[in-house]
Amino acid sequence: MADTPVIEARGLSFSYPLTPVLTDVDVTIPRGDFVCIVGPNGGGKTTLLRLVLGLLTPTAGTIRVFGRPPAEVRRRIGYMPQHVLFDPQFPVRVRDVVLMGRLRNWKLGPFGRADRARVLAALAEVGLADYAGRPFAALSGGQRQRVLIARALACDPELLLLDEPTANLDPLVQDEMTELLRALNARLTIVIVSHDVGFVARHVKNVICVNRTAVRHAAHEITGDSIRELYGHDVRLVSHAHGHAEGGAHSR
Amino acid sequence: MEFIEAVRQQPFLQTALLTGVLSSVACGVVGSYVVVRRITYIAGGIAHCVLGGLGAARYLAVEHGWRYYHPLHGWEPLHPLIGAVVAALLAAVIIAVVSLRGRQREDTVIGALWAIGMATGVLFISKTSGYQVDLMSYLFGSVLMVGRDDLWLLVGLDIIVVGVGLLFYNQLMAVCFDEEFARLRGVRVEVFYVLLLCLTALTVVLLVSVVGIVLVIALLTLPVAVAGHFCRSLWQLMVAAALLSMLLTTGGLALSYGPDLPAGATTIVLAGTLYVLTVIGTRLRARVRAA
Repeated sequence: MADTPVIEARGLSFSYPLTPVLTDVDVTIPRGDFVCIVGPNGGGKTTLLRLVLGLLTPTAGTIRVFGRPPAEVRRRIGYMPQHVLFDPQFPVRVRDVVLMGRLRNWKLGPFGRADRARVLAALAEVGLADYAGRPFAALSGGQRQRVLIARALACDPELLLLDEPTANLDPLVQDEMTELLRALNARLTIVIVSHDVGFVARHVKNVICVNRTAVRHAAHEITGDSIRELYGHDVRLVSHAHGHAEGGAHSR
Repeated sequence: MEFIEAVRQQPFLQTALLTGVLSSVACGVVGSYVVVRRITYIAGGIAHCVLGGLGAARYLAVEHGWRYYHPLHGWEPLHPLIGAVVAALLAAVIIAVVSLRGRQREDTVIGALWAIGMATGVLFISKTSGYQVDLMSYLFGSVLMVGRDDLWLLVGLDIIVVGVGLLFYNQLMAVCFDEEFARLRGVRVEVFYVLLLCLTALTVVLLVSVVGIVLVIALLTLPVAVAGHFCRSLWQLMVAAALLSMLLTTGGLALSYGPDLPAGATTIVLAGTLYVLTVIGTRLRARVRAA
């Protein structure tokens, strides 16, 4: 079934009571794609991700992941949230966080040797092999983000969803991250949400602009200028429809 | 020294010590989950509902002749602790449902349940013939009144709580740390949340025997709070909190024995003192390092 798209949305709409967030979205993401979702705050980017994960139910239309309803195929998706609302006093080491990627519902007792090895490999991939025993709370924002990417990789996913993976990274680490994502794209389909226009133009294959509805472009069609133009246009649109923009922001 | 001699001679003191040690294990394991998930207030609500269960069980036993089957002694009048277990589990399930459905303000419901549980207990006790002084002593602890025959119930509860709490360690920890991610890995988050509250309920019943309803929250959280300053992972926290809790319950019993003080209250004051000293100690150490 190599032809089944990884993600396929048809007429997808989602609204909170009184506030539409996404309206009539059609999106197809084929296997092996490297897509960036861009758009203004409150435009529905995170809502789209949550629909793909099956954490939200569409109010109209359909969404299929690997040709099936999202909730059935969650275990094939590796997800990195934008933030983990975590308690800085929570006693948890880096290794423990990444091990959560190996979690199963009814498996009793401690993780096995294979799970531990997979976790160390995932940490090595994001360049944090030496940090396995450190307290998670003691890491910098960028390091924590990489730990969360390692957790998503530890799931052995076929689809990687990353919400703002470059937000907290300094330029040097961003380059490393870019290399990492490129290498991963050889074996996985990757969808990221990003505000980083430069990143979008240089590295991804396709761009999906989300603001109430979604438009897909090939990345090479997009220059920095045209994206800025798009944002400018979108921003005006948002200021016209203020209530919608705020409603969308609640979805985060 | 006088205390050690007394323990050697007095079976009721041995039972009290054993009760403290047993419940400390559950206290360390479940208390850690309660503290990191920040549901101390829920534990408090459950604890106060226990009085309703104690009162109802005694009422049914005295006024209506309800019995239960004791594995060693056969049929006996309904034990108050059985009522406590039922009431605590019921409270846990109600709070879990309210918090998962999210239609009501959770803290309002917990507060209401807290008071209603106590009030129900008071009503049942007032309608039971005879003066039920032993039930009222559950408010502030009655570890010296735990009989040899009660121990089997406490041992059973302890094994269940610690066993389940450790077997599902990974799932419970994930639900405490990042519920959404756990859900995405296919973990039945709601089921484990209900399970966590039920474990909390059973632990509360264990601890009620040691320090009483009113003081339970302190014993559930203070050892964890102290241990939290020194632990890097959740299982280390559990081990350290359990050991600390053993130290505190034993210490409380020993200190209270000579001057004939209430053991439960002594234990809690001891735990509170240790907590305050730890906080001051960590602050001072941080200041010395910064200087």
